[in-house]
Amino acid sequence: MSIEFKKVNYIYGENTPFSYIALKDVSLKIPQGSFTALIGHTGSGKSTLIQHINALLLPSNGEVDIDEFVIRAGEKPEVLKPLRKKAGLVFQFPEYQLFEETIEKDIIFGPMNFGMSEEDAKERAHKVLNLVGLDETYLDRSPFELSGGQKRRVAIAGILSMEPDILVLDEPTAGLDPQGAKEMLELFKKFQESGKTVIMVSHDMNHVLKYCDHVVVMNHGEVERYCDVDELFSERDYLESMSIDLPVITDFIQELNMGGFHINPSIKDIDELVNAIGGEYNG
Amino acid sequence: MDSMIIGRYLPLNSFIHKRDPRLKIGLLLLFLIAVFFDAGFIGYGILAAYVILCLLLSKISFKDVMKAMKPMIVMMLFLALFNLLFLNTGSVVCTLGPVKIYSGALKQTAYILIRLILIISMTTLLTACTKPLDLTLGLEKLFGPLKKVGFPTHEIAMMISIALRFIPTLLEETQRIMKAQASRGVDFQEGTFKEKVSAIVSLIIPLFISAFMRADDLANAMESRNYNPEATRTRYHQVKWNLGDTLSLVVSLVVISSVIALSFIL
Amino acid sequence: MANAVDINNLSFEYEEGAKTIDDISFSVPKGSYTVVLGHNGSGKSTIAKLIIGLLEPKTGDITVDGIHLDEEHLYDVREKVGIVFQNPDNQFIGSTVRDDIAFGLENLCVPTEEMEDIIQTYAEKVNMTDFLDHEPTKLSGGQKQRVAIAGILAMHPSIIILDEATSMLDPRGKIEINNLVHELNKTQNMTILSITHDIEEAALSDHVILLDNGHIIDEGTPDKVLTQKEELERIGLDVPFAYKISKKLHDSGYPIKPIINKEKLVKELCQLNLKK
Repeated sequence: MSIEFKKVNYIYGENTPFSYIALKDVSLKIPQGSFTALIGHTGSGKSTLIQHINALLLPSNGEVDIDEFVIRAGEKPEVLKPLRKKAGLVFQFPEYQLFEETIEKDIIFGPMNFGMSEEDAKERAHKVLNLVGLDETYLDRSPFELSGGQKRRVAIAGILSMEPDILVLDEPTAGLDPQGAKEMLELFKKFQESGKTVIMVSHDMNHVLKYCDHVVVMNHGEVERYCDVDELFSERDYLESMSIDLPVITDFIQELNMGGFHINPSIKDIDELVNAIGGEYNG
Repeated sequence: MDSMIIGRYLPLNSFIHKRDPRLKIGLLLLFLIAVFFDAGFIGYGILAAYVILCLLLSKISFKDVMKAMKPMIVMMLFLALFNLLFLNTGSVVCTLGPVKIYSGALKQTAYILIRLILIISMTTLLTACTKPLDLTLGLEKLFGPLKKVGFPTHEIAMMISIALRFIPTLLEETQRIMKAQASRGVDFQEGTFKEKVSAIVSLIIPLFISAFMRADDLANAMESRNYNPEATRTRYHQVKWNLGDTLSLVVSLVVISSVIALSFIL
Repeated sequence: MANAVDINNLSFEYEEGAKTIDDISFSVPKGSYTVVLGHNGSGKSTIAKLIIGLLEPKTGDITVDGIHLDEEHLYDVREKVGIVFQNPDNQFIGSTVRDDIAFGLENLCVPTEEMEDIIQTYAEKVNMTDFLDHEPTKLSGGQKQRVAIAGILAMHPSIIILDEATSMLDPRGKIEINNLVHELNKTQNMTILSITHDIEEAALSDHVILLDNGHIIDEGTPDKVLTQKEELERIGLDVPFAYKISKKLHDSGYPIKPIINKEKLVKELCQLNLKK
């Protein structure tokens, strides 16, 4: 379930006067089982990149390997469906893709497109609905009666029901309140902990710090950095030059350290931080 | 989509582009009426010369005009064939096996083709040389008087402008929904009839729902900004009539009325 | 000094029996930056729509800048209130930035000759003069919200309501809008009523109204409201980061009072550390 980009270029509107290079020479290897964040300014190519993972976009140059699937520039792959099942892509504001009469029908839509039988799909739907924090009473309801946050959970259930090995998320917490965001991210963390790979585009560095282990930094279509989360957040100047905010806790620690403290900058947990501050005071 | 010239605005800076939209719409309507008067080939010659003059003044390339005709060629051929074969007026001109071609049919077919070409050219000219919003404004001003009899001219014009503003946004959204559903295994290109229907449903329903939500939000936004369709409003965009418009009006009326007069004389 | 908004015993139901807003009363002082804080579904957006008369209350009354909101005075109230909604696309009415700012002016019967200057002036205030002829599809979310604000400013409101106006924006957009709004509040004394679930934004405001399930459960300065840890957690919000740290330190015997301002906390901790 590893993902590899080999010198991938993507050009929008090739051969038109509006052609524009969205991805430049992107080479990247994302290991199985990781929770990787994809960050960068708006327009840096993040959205273009993730659409290559399930072959919504095909590379203009280079090659994309998703496990046994090889997608080379210039070659139209014969079968895309199995790849779309393996790499489940959740767009921003996924609640806008709901359309069925009942929530159950919407959740089984994906798996049935990939060949699952209706009974199996329904069984799967029940399980997945619980995973996203909704109970069976929701199955017969119309998705359109729900609140925005609940609709989003149904949409995500609809992707999880496809049983993907890779989950690609484009700003999954956009517009959610803090509690809603937390529940969503915990869900994805659990998914990863069951052995799957998660890639998440995010603008919230606090989330990146708390849940991700690796991070890819995109800048104007190029992969600027690929490293551990801790490593990235230790480079204050670099992040400032890229207009990337530090996670609140990391920024706080760095400011304290600049004012005379000696606190471990990779602390992610508030209690640990409190102990560290208290510890230094007491000598 | 790029070759669809009919209906598309071409941003050039010609004499025709600068004319008052009310003039252009009004003249188009009169022109369309004149086309259906039978002033013989002389009459159509005059109208054709008028169209060619307008095209030259509009700076639109001949190539673009041909592009506008392209989608209509099949229909025109079909109409021509239909009339040629089935109209039995006048005397027989020639015989092709069991089929007899009549002189009357020839004349009618020629008329139909000429009329079609004239109508398509002038309509394309209007839309290519007038920004959609100016067209809407022109229509609103022209049909303004109908407000007095209760016709909702302003509301319709407002609806058209908002629809125009949202077309690109809705196109983007269609793309997004298609990608989201493709990620759930929908194939928009191949599949059985049932699968294709399911694919379209998975696209249309979210689009409609989102469109209704937008409409709701928009209505709230418009009301919050004090919009009241029944109250008087001033307008930012104005239509200004000038000398060029008067000259064009005079010349055009001369042409159109001479053709109509000719149809009664001949 | 009259309040910008006075709300008394306001109730509203979307459906029979399900009270979205339940007998709430509060005031927005003139010139203040007031935040209505609540999780999604707490009823906060409904308040915005009630104030501007898009919804009719079941009970209670609303007074804006001294004008009582009723059918007769609906448009008078709407002239005083400018509201920026959440979705940047769905409130952009004009085909270009210019046209969108002009829309409000047209509604207020501003003479055509004056419109050009007004559009230019307010586009400058929000830094969008380079984009006046741009279509909305060519603008970012933050830019569209700036245009919305320009359009509202051009109508000279007494109060600007932000209904989760930054929740669909990226970080850059959020900062743009928050800075702009704070500037309007500080330099032009514009009353701001911001409806949000963002704790850190609330920490920077003058006055916080805490909403849960259609009820006001607390009201006061950020220092008072945002330090009620149990209360905030119960309704699905969180206390500001600085408060979390300082409270835990305080509880473990550290000589510091719990505060909600991060910068102040850093300063205090560093000073204490040096002194020891």
